[in-house]
Amino acid sequence: MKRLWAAVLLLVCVIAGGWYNLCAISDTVDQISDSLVQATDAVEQDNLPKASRLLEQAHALYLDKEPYLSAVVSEKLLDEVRLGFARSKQSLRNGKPEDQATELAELRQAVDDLLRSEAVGLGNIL
Amino acid sequence: MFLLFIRTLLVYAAVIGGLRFTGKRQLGELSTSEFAVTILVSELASIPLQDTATPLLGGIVPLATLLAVEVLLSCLCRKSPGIRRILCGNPCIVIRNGKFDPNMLRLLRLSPEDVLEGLRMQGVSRMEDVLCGIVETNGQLSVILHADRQPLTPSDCLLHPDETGMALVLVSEGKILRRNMEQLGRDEQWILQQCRRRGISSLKDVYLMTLDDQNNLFLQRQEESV
Repeated sequence: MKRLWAAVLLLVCVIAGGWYNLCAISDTVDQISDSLVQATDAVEQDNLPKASRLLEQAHALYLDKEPYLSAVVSEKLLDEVRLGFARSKQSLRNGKPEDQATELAELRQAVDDLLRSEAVGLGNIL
Repeated sequence: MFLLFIRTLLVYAAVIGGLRFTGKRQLGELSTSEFAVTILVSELASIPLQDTATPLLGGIVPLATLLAVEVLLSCLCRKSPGIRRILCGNPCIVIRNGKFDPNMLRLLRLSPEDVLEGLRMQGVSRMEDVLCGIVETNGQLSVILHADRQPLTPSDCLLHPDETGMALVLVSEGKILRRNMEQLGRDEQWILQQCRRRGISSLKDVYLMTLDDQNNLFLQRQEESV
C-alpha cells in the first residue's frame, strides 16, 4: 500500500512539476516577447536608443531565467535564443533598418519556440 | 566529461531506485506491462547519457512517470480481474489430457515444437504424461502431470521426514548478520561458542556460518574457501 501511495505521490509531483514548468516558461516567454514587440515598434519608429534599451531589458530577463531554462529546455533551442540576442544587438548597433526588424522577428520566433516546445497541444503530442 | 560522469550516476541511481520501487517481480518473470516498461526504461535512461544537450529532467521525468504508472497499474490489476485480463491476458491451456489444443496454439501463434521444447525444459519427455499444459500470462509453460506420472514423494510412501527448515546466514566473511541472528533467537556469545567448539577462535576466520530452524549448523572456514 505504501508503494501505491508513493506512486500516486510521484505522479502528482510529476504533474505538478510539469504544470509549474509550463507556467514558468509561459511567463518568461511572455515577458521577453513583450519587450521584443516594443523594441520592434521602436525600430519601426526609428527610435534606436529605445529599441536597444528594450532589447537589453529582454536580454537581462532571459539571462536571469537561463539557469532554470537550461534545466528544462533543450540546449539547441536556448542556443537559438542566445544567437538571436547577439545578432539583434549587432544589428541595432550597425545594421540596416530592414535587417534590424528581421533580426528582432527571428529572435521573437526563437523565444516563442521555447514555449512551443513545452506547450501541451496536439502538434507537440503527435 | 565530469558532467557525463555526474549525469550517468544520477540516471543510474534513478533506474536502480525505479526498479527497486517497482519490486522484485520486475527482475524475474515479466508480464506484458512490465516488459514494456523495462524496454522503455532502458531506452529512456540512455537519452540523457548520450546527449548532454538534453536536460537530465528530460530522461528522469518520463522514467518516473512510467515507473509510477506501472506500480499503479499493477495495484489496479490486483484489485480488478477485468483490468488484469486486459493488461496481462489469461493463462491458456494448450495441452489437455496429453493432446494439443490446435485452436489455442493457433491463437497463441505457437507451434507444437515450441510447446514440446517447453515440456523438455520442464523435464517431461512424453506427451501422454501431461494432464494439462498451460501457457501462463508471463509466457512460461506450466505442466501438470497425470497423478500416476508425478514424481514419488515421501508422503506417497507414508514417510514423514523431519523438516529441514530454512537456513539463514549468521556470519558472512567474518561479519555477523544481526538481523538474521535476532530472527533465529541467537546472540553473539552463542555464535562465538559454536566457533570455539569447532576450533575457531576469531570470527575473522569464519567464511560462512548458516543455521536453520532445525538447529542444523553449517560452518566454513576462511581458508576452506576456494
